[in-house]
Amino acid sequence: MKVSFFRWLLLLLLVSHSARAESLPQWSDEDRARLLRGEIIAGTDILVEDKRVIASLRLGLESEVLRSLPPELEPEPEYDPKVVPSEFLPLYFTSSESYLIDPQQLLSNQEALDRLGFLNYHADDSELKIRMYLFDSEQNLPATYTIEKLCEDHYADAPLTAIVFCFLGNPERSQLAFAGQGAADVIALDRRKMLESAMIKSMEKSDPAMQLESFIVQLSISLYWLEAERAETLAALAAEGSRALAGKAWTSGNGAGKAEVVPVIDAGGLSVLKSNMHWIILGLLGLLCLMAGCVFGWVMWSRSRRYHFPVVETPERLGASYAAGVGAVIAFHKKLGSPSSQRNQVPDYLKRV
Amino acid sequence: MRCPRCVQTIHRSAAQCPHCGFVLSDLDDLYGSGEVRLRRLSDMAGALRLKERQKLERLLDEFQTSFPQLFFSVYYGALEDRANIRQFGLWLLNHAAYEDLDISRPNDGGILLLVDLNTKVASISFGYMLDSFLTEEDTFNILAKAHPHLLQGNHLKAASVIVKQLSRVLRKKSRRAILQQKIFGPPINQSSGAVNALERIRSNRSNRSAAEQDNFKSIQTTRAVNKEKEP
Repeated sequence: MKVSFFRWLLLLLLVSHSARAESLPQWSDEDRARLLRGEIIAGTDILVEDKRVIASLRLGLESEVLRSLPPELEPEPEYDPKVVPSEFLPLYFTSSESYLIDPQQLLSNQEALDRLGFLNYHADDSELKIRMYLFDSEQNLPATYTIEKLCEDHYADAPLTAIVFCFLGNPERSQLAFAGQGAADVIALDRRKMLESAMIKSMEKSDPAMQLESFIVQLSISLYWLEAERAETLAALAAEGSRALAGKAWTSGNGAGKAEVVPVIDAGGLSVLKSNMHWIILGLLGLLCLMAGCVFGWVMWSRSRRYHFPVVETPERLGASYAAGVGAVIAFHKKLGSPSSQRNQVPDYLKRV
Repeated sequence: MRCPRCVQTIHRSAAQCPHCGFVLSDLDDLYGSGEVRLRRLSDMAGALRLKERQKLERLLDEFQTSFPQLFFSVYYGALEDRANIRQFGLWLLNHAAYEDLDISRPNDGGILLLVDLNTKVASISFGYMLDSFLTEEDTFNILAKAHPHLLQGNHLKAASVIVKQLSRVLRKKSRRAILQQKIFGPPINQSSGAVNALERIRSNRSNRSAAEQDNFKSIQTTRAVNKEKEP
């Protein structure tokens, strides 16, 4: 029992000694600080034996450390959510081919593509385009940059266009203006109604991107009706103009050849149809004449056509030289009798019987 | 083919009716054997007015234009009660010499519409040229179309309906015949057939004696006088 106890004690002493002898070196506080600053490289003394190489490495390391120190950054100007950054203002107020102008990239890439896709679809389908300018919800424009100024500067000569300033997440601040040819004909009441309906529709959504989508869709619908209304008005004006010209030509006796057709610039198929009505009528008349000519030609051809029969030598029958063909006989003395009752020919003596 | 007397079916080349022994010469004893001078439109019964006659003649001209080998003639008569319209039609078409017809149109290509206003019966007879193309069924259908107009006494309308319906039938038959001719070739003796027919009518016409013509005329006058005597 005693022997085993001593054995265990001896073994314990040996293990503790060996553990003490193999323990890792400890960093002094000074070395640790230098290591953190990058002035020393851990393991250099072990891996590189040549003292000169070590010296050169240390020298290079010190220079790199000095070079890699970050320069002192200028303090960024504080972001003011109520002001449009000045570098973006010129980007807004220049003529752009795109229907969605968002230089601040307020929308994500996919959202911007979706909205732009719808605006392009609307532009393909309608003569009245939409140009949408996007701002942040609280951003205010400088007094010199207004929607009216934008319309005058960049869209005065363009076709009729709806310019929209949209404040993302704050649809109540949206602005709508019409620019281009015929913009003066759009009355303010209509414009306000369109803007209000689009705003109300967009406020039904909570997400700013969805609000924008609803706004555009509702605006597109309103613009369709506006366009149809304008087309009807223009067609009526054109018809009146044509009538006036025709009346003038009639009274002056110059003939209808000098009458000018008032051009109608609109997108409605109905108005195009109405404006080209005289051509359609002329075409139909021409078609009718052609058909009548064809019918007349066919009748004339069929009348002038000659029908021949092959001459077959037939032996004489019943001693008749030219004819022995006895056809049907029909009596018409009975008003109530049907002719079909006489289909079967019977001898006369049978009839008398 | 039917016999005009007993209305029994006979062979196409029967010399006489096998049922009743009828031959055309039997009718010569009744109506005369001479040639009868007629116009295409003979209104012996006075069924048409002058303007109606002119209209009908124009219609007959159109028919002849469409069918250069054929002609259509109309005879309105008041036959005796005992007269048989089939036999009279057959006899008339064989003995008629049409004054207003070109010699190139023999009686073989003739179609005769005979309307008896006395017995109120109408019939159609036709020449050998149409033997293969017109059937009794065709002629009945054509006459049936005109039946309502005949009932009303509108003889011009009835005649024009008959001419138009007949033209339609003949156009169809002609087209079919020409087509068959193209497919199966021309009928035998076709070229000689027309020449023979023409020669036959010329010879027959020249052979008709004036006495025979007078005979027919006297028969007609007697009938007219008898008709007038009737109450």
